[in-house]
Amino acid sequence: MTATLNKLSPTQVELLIAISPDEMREAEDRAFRRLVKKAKLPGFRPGKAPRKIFEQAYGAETISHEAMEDVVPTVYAKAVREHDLEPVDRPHMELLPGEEGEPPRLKAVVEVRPAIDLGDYKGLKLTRRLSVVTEEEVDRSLQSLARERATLVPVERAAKLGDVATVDYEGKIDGTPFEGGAAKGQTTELNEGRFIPGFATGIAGMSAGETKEIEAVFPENYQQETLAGKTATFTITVHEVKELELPPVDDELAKAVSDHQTLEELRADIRKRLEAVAQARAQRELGSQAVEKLVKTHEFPLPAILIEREIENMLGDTASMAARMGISLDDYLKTAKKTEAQLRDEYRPEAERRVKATLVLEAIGKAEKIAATPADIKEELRSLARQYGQPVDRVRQALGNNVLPLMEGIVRTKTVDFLVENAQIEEATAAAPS
Amino acid sequence: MEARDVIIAPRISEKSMAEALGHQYSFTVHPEATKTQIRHAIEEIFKVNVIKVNTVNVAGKRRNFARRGLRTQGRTKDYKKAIVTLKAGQKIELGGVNYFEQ
Repeated sequence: MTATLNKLSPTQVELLIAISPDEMREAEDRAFRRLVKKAKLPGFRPGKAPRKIFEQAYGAETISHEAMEDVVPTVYAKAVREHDLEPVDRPHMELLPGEEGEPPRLKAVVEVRPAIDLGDYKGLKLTRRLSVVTEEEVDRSLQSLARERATLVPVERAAKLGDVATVDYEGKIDGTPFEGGAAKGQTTELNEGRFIPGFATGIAGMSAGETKEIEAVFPENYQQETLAGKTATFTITVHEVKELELPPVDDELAKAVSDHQTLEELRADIRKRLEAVAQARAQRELGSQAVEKLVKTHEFPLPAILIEREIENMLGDTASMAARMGISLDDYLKTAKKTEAQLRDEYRPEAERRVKATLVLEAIGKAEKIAATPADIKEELRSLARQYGQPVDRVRQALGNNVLPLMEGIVRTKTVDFLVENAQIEEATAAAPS
Repeated sequence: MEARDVIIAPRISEKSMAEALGHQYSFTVHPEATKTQIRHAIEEIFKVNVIKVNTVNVAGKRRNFARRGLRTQGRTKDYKKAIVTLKAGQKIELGGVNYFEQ
């Protein structure tokens, strides 16, 4: 086999592969041995017929066709190795007739990984933005702990937002009741985010025993299309108003919600945990900073197919996000007032960025000989198992032959870690994001 | 009988091809052909020297045809098989060549 390489573009090559007569003959022999086992010829048991007899009955082309099936992938793989290519897609192949008496030639066009001139990737200047855990944050955590142990106390005053009220309500649109618009003795937390706008605020200000009519508007993107954008009139009767009474934040609370004996210990523990979270966040952020830097400093042509695939992935993510909200992708596009083509165009820059990041990271991983060791894989499986709450064996089984993406993920993580380890890190403190 | 009426067709099978290695060649021949006739016919057609002719009348096999309640019996054709031994070193091209075309 001899293969000549034509670069069609920086990310696309054409391979012209000439199959040698010897290779062809060997492949034909193998093909014949395979085919003859299935051949039914009078006077011969399956697999016992001589080649001449077989060819007379089935035609010599049967064998050469079968041989091509075998020879094409092998010579293609050889040619790829010979020219040190890294295809990122399946090749488009075409058979060209060979010279007189010679086996046919093969033309393969395939997208390949571009050559990347790696710039400086060691000693990247990164900034560790470690957010300082403030007393307020600790207080806030304590508050939410207290909220878990809050008790409801009936009050005589008018309801305000944040209270819990027991109400009857009946909603009408243009004078007619609608489905799901009425309930009796419903306990509702008066929280504007939980209901359609106007509902909770309408109840606020009412006292127990009062009846009132309020108006609320369904938002335009309400999931029930028949109601979206409509104005409803609710007749509301308030039976009871309760206030959320938080327990005092003291040693008693500390004992109730944790293993700690005093409030001070609990505070220290919460602080430690928040700091660990901030640490981890800062570390993750360093990684993405490093990747962003590399994406900015490297310029190389991107294989179109990878970008298309990434856009496809992003579209798939959007679709499954829409599915979680209970709508189809089409509905989502309608409410967002976009066509799929527009969405694709919008995703393109991000897809390009992602593909670029992946390619750069893979190039660095290769240059630094970063690999996933069996121990890494074991560790990754264990953490997957924890994540899904399944035994490790089950996870491995479910994964089947799909360990390659797993390994790629490990190499990627290790590469990012490598970059961070070899970076010049400047420390900076920032206020906690609220 | 003309030579080409005596010899009907070569018999090509695993067995006949194995025997051909020992210069014995099998043919389906006219049922009433004699060994002498077969010898002359083979020598005339293939220009070889025949040392020995063995013949056997092969009775056709019974075949059952059971189709939807209807049962019929039939049989395959009877034929005469001749195995001719050639002089050492001579051969008839067997396998894929049609012997009876010029």
